[in-house]
Amino acid sequence: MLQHIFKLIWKKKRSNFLMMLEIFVSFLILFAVWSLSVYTYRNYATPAGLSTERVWTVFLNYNTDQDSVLRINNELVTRHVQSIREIKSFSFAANNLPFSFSSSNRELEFKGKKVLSEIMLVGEDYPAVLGMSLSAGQWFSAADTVGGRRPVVITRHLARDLLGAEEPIGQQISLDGDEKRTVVGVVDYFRHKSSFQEDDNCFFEPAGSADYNLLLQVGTGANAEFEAQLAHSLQQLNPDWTIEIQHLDQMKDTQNQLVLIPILILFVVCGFLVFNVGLGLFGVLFQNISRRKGEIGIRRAVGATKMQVMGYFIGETLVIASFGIGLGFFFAIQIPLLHVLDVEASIYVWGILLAVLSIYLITIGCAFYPSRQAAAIYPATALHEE
Amino acid sequence: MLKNYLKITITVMRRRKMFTFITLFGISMTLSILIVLTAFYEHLFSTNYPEIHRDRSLYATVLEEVESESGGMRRGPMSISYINKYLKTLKTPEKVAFASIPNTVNTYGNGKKLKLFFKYSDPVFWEIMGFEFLEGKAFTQREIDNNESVAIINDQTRDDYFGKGLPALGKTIEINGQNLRVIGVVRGCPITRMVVAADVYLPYHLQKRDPNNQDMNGSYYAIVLARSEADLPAIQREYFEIVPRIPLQTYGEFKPDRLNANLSTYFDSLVQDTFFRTGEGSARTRFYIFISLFALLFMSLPAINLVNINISRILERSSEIGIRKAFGASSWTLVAQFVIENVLLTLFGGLVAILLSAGFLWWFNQSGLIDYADLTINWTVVLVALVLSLVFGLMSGVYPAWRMSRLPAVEALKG
Repeated sequence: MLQHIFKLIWKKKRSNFLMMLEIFVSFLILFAVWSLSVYTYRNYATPAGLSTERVWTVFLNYNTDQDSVLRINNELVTRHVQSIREIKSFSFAANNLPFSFSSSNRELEFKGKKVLSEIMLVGEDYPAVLGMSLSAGQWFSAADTVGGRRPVVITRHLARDLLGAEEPIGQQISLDGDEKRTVVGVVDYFRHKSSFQEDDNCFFEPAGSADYNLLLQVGTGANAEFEAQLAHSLQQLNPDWTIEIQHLDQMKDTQNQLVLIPILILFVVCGFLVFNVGLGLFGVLFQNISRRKGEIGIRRAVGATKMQVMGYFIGETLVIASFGIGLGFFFAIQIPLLHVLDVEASIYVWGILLAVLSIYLITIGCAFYPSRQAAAIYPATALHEE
Repeated sequence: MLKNYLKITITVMRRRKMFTFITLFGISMTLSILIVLTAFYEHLFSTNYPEIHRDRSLYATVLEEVESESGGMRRGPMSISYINKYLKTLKTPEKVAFASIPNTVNTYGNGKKLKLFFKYSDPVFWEIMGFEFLEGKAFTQREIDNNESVAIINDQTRDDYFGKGLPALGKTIEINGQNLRVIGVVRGCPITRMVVAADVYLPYHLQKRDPNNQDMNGSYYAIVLARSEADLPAIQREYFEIVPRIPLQTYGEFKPDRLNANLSTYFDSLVQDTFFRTGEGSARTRFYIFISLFALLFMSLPAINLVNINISRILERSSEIGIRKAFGASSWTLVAQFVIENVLLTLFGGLVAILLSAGFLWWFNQSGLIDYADLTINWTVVLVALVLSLVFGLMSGVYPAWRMSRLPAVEALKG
């Protein structure tokens, strides 16, 4: 049966060429869209490693570079924040706060292997503010820094990337060439750019005097009025400071939207394209089948059942689709083979599988009604017309 | 005769409703998507309010200090002192202005929290930009020399902070703990115009960070206005001759030995200089190739679809062609009819597309997703797209019809 269909289609390859071309292009587009979806979903399903609930950020700028002034200001702010009952815990941090627009990358080295990683300069209470938990070791404290030791906490991803199979705790890694760091703790995940960020390298270091943005864990009673008071009281500490309070969950929403909106637009546009193609296929199949009434009549007359005729026409469409898919597969597989983009190969496999599946579903959907029409033809009427 | 053709066309369209719908849907959907996308493109990149001289302006947005040995890099906007020293001294431009990157601040006026974007600028900024002043006027060098605390706000901030419809001139607004006197209210512009958009504009002397900062890095962009578009390359040449001779600073361990700077047209400053490091030519080319391939793939699909549908429709009508030939119609009469059918269908599809996209753009503009959005239909694109779909329609509908009309009537009648 299948051989029979292949032979028939091969003989009519010129008239089926456009349909194959259409399937080929649709396959490539669907492959791109599905790969992107799988990639995005996978990232979304990975744990974030931090909680944004009731976390506020204070973008603080002392507007000075003098180290002594920075230290005094930091003490002033610490004492002030500690005196407010509504603030449960707080931490200083550098400019690249979670879900903010800035980022900061440094190069780490271990036994000759060099890796780029995000650096977060943060305070001792940082995990408490963001509800983070460590999977090994512990967070750095003031005691860790005695004797010139410089403790860091790293993500599991960075441990794999930089240290490979070695036990991370206690390892010495160097930053930007020669400054030695000691790993004291490991967190499983820390996805701080958006809910759709890929699990990535990140490490935490104790904040210095120039890292004076604030992260606050506030109590349930903290409302807009409290926010205004907080901003006002901080401003009163020094009129030259610039202060801006934001809520971490809103910052996360903003970042998520920036990722999601382009994807949604792509989905809508592709959806219309595929619908368009589906309609076109439907029309062409309908036309083809109504022109082959004679053939259907003969098939029925020599004993083919209704189901067989229907199955035959659907099968024929699927074979045409397979030609298009085959050609598309050849091009699609080049992307993981040539490592065009730095993404896991399994994502492309899923992309191809889903694209094949959706093409077959679309073609079956489009072929179903015309094929049923064909099967409903009476052999006598069809042959009579001929 | 023409009326006859029209009648036939409409009858044919109504007889095969499904095919008409498929063709119309394909044409109008593709055109709508094209129109909407170009509207967004124009919104982002063309000369728009208030950047009325964007076509003869160059934008300096970024400096890169590179340490060749380690590959380390510092990258960011410029300081006022850098702009004064190396950009304001250029001889070819007509005017050079600067404005800071937008900052956000909360202000708690009228018992509610307002999140405002604010920007510092010099007086020249107001000479280059075509802001429409609803109240008052721009600040000049005089306010800066007298160290006056003044601000210019946009109409939305006026409505939110002082109350809707109330004049704001001379009143004070509190920003960053400073009390500022409002000296002007401008009609706002969408946030997508990054270099100019803000809710509050302040003269640069109000900036809290030490304005005598001698570092190269700061938080300012420069806008360089040329006398005419033809002068742009000359200005770029003059600047890029200076850049390699600019003395570099060291920052502790980090000792940069090379300076990369940009001075580009608006499109380049936004697309290339944001996504690519200076001199990353190959990555940029690959990016553009990737985008163009995807666009080509996108556009080819509806075209193939249209051709496919048209060809199978013509086959269906072979008996009609046969009969008309048998009754003495010439090939040309038949072709004329198919041309008119195609033109009508395409025009109708185009009309639907224009209505759909105009509706969408209207909805988008008033939805508040982007404040002050002013997306409009680009009629040149509509025309080009219509012509393109006509070409595909004619290629796929008329050419097979013409070939069939050359067949002997008996053959055509047989189908």
